[in-house]
Amino acid sequence: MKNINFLPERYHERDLKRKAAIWQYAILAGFGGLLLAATFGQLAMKRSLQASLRELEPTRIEAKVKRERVQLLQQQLNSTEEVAALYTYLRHPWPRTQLLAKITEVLPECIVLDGIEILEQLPNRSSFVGNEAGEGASEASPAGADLAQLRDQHDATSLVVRIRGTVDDTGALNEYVRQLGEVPLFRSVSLSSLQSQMSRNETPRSAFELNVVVRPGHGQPGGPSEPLARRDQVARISLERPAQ
Amino acid sequence: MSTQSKKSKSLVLTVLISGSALAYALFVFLPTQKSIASIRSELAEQRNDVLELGTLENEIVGLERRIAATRETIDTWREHAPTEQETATFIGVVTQLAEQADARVDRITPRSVVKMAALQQHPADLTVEGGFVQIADFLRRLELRPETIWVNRLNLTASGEAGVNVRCELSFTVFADNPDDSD
Repeated sequence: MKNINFLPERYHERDLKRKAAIWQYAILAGFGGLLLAATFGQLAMKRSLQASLRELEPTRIEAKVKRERVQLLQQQLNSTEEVAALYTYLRHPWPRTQLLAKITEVLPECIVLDGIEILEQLPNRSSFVGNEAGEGASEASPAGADLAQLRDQHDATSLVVRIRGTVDDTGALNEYVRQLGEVPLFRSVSLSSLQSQMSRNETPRSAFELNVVVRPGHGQPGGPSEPLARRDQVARISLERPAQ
Repeated sequence: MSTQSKKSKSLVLTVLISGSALAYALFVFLPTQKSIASIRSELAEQRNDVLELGTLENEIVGLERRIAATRETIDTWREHAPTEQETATFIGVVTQLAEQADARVDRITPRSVVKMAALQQHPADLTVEGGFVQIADFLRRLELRPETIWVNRLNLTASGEAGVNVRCELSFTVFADNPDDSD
């Protein structure tokens, strides 16, 4: 069966126009809806973020307060640390009794000591280094300046122990030098002189001089990073063993 | 004529829609996005702050511990540092130490005070005689003193009959606070 449209052409056009207008309104409405949805979406997101911000506000304030406290503590530490560093540096020298104890501990019977000298040996330093340290010290606090001055005077020096004595058995002397070399407190031990001499009872003896370079103290360049001895181990010389 | 008017109407509509879309994008969408981005970045900073809070607490504890340690060092030193009066009479203390160790003080010579910025050095030269045990005991007593004493030079020489006695020449420095320094 065939449908026959008897309506005039202008009715068809009007119908088409109406349909096109409906589509146009639909598109406009859709577009407007899209914009509205985007706007509401953005607003919702903004509100949610702002709520999160408000939630985190106390933590932010706490963090700010703590950051300020850290700065304050850092300033306090900087002001006290230099003084503490100076006072700590004053404790760096090895106790001399400990050095004497280490020297006499392994001393064999056949060695007679004539003298022990402990002194700081000054190195040959260029004037440039001294000036540089001096300039740095002038800018520091009083404690910092003193620390720089003490470091300048003592860090470059070597603590040396000179041991003078006589021995009738050079083998024992060599063993003594070897044993001293194993002491962690000493950096190097060397025989600086050995001279034959006749003693009163005509026994051939040799006069010797040993040079012992002591390791730098704690906090000095080249010094130990860990304790070599506890503080309560200070100053223990064996009373059972007098000098020979 | 009808087709022409339809086309122009459609063009106006397209321009209107595009214009309003552009205006919306420029004046509403993009500024809001910008403000969202700024809130997001602020939020990220705050989240970092929250994460940092634990680190800050640890840092505060660490700093307080270090300050306490430095204060303890300072207090201990100041507690034991000799006063001006004590440094003036320290020679007497050294003589007493020698007597307690049964050693004999031969000579004791104070040298001039070295004034530094925060400290004062009180150097002195000393000669003591006795047996090795007595001299060692004297040195031990000197080093166990609470004051900071540096033995700068020590020279032990065998002396007397068959070298049983020891002569000890000693240069030492007693450190004290400089009263002129207000720190």
